[in-house]
Amino acid sequence: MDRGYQKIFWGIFLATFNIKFGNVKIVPAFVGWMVVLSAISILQDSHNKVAFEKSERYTKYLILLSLIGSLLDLFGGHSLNRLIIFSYYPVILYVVELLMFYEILNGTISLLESKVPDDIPTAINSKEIIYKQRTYIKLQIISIIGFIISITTYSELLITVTALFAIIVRIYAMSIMSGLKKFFLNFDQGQSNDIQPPL
Amino acid sequence: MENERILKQGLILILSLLLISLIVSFYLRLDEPVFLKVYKEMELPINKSSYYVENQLNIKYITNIYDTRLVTHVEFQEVPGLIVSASSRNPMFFSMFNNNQGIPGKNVGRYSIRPIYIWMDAYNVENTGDDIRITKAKVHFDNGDTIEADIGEVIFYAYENRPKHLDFMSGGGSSDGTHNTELEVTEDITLIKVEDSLLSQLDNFVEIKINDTDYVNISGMELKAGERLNIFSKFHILEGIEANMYDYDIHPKLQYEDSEGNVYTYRFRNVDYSRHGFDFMEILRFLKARGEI
Repeated sequence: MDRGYQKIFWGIFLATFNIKFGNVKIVPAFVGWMVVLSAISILQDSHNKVAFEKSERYTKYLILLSLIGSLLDLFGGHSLNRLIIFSYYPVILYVVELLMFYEILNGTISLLESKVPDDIPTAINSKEIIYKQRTYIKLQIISIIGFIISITTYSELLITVTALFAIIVRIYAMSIMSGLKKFFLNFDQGQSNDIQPPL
Repeated sequence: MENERILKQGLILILSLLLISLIVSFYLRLDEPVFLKVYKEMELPINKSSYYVENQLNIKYITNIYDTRLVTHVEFQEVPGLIVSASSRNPMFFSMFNNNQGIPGKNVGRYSIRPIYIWMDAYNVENTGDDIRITKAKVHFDNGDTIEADIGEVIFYAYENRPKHLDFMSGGGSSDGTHNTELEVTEDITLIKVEDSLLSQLDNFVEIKINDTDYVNISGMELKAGERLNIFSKFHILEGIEANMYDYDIHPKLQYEDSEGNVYTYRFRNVDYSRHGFDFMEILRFLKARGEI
């Protein structure tokens, strides 16, 4: 399971800090989301499929939408900017990302509830993830609102502030993933140590 | 679950905001560039060779910020024979930095104010002695679009000899549209009138005083050799956002006669007003007043 969360961490990392070579992105955002998709399948293998089913679906939407966005960017260029509808395209991506991450955390909460007993104090429990999920939802909603207002007003200052804020939200999401990775790494080791040889 | 409730509320908020933003964006969109008019008189060597780069006219237009078209050519069909070259960039302005980068202009909110630099050569224009007047421009863009635009009124007049009775002493102006010119009278003269075709159109907001007398009342004013002639001008653009956004530069003709009764004309050039920097609300008010949005 720690591998799953570690992969989500790197997936978000790739989607956030995509490397540009001139005008062409070497690693476009959708590659990052593909990494997240493969990570979700790891989590599904080690837990029940249903819990992560929705997050898998949203990740697929996100890959498709990012891919379309990248292609439009590459071939449409400036002329697409003249279509007002397209100027709001990133907002849809951010909304799907919010839903995807919300569902990943929902799956994680059910995973923690089934694997970690309530009565044993552990480094991470489902309550803590519920709390972090709430913070993430709020932060991501603020950043989406920021984007909508920036796109509408074309305020350079607001665009810069919102973009920075969005990166901070992604880093927050990454920090949750890295915490889960560490927790499950120790947890799995602890569990295997706990197994006593039969007498 | 509380988180689900927050998510749903957030999504509703996002959706409503998106809808409002789309409506606002469509409402504020300009179908075509809107030209800021110029009311200008300029000396243009007509039917004479001249130093081409001096005959420059700048006009501005407001367009959507995402409009990436550049102006490649401008035609003034009212003046046959006028050779015109135009560009969105000012090739005379060499910049080491940011040269030919991006689209020239100043972005204000969803709009951008773009310049057009126009150079003219009137060598092939027939000199009939009358002023040459342009009010319309056919503007060509690099994507093949053409726009017929009202550009206000620009009057070209042929070179006139400066009469010898008035010597320029000093002149100055301030950004509020106030200008002062001080001339010295070298021979006895009697003022007749101030005449200008643009001035009569702009009469309600241009104030011109000659030696503290309103220009319409100067007829018969006598000036002795050695006396000073002061020309004061001010633009009173207080009401009407439209007039406020335009550029003005008029060169009225002061007519006078010498002691022998010969009539002379002196053009003075200190009546101008030009806006620099617009805020978004001003542009909105202007576009609404023009009926563009």
